Amino acid sequence: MNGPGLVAYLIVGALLFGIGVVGVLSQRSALMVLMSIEIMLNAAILTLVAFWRFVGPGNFDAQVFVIIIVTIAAVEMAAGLGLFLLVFRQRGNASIDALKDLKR
Amino acid sequence: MTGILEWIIFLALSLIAVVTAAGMLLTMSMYRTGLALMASFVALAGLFILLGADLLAAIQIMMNVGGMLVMVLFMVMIMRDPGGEMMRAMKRYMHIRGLGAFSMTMPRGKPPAAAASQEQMNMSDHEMNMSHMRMTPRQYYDMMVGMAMSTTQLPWAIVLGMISALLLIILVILTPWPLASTAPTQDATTAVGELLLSRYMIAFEGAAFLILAGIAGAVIFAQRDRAAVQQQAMQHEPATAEEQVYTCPMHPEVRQNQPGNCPRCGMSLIPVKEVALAGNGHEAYQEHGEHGKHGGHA
Repeated sequence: MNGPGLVAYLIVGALLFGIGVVGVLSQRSALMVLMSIEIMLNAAILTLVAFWRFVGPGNFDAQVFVIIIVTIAAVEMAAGLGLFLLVFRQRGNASIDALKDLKR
Repeated sequence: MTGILEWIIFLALSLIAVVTAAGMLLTMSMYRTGLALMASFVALAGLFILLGADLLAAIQIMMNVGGMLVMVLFMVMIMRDPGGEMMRAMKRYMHIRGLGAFSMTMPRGKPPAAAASQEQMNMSDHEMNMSHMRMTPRQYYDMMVGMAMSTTQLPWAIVLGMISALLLIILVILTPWPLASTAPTQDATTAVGELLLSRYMIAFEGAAFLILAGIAGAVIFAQRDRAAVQQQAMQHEPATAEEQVYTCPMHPEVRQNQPGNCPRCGMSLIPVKEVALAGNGHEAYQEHGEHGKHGGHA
């Protein structure tokens, strides 16, 4: 019997991505939205690694791509946290909906 | 034999990854949210090892799990209710049934009526003594929704998430993937290291600059403006009677210069500064410990 194949890993990635979508669309706190985005990025990373293993195991470009994605995710997290810390200080909460008045 | 073992490990790890990610959205405690996300990341790192990408597993642990650890510490330090205990007590007190954080978004059950207010009379605890005993169902509903972790769009979000996951799964199953039969032969760490310093040199350097920009940006965001700090120090000096503005906890548009009763509902007015602190949702940040104690009984 063979081990889990490409499709099995891709299904896990799809499930994680769906959970991330629910989080981004439903959460009130900006912190939670950032964390849900992390879940979606991780789902993308999982699919990339699965593709590397099962479609092009000799080509390590995919792993380089994953490293770049992880870097960008970390920077996004730091910048997002800094931004929302600023919003907390100004307004006392970091509800995404409270940011609507920036449009006025 | 190894195939069956691999399946068992795969199923266990992916179950942990998916369940903890879903649990992140279900718990009422921000602290547990961070821990659940960390568990999900660790399980994902296990899947990477199963796929033969050990370098990426190490990077995943160091970057994502380490970053999340910092975030958890961050939340414990500055959040008012990181453990979600206030929310849990609220849920128990209001007799709300349902699953974790979702029950607060879509509260079922009746608002606490006369029986609850009887119970409330005996309570000396200030936190519980908020004036929700004379609430209409609509006000009660609005209050619960205002405190919940997720917004009222939650059912739609769940539907959309399910649709996107299902669509992806269907596409994944239907697509004929050009599978390679070979296993990776080269050592991944060596190969990735060589690629990063040859073909992907520019991307690598760009990532380094991006991190630098991110650090600079975060520091600039987090740093306080000197002028703003001075202004805030002025505000925190004890206010004299004539410059203190009073407002009604239920009608924020009511403002007057001296304490008294609200012209609309007759409740006693409170200073504006306390309204700002008392009116926050459960995620409100507490910058000054001495104010947090007054937060509940406005």
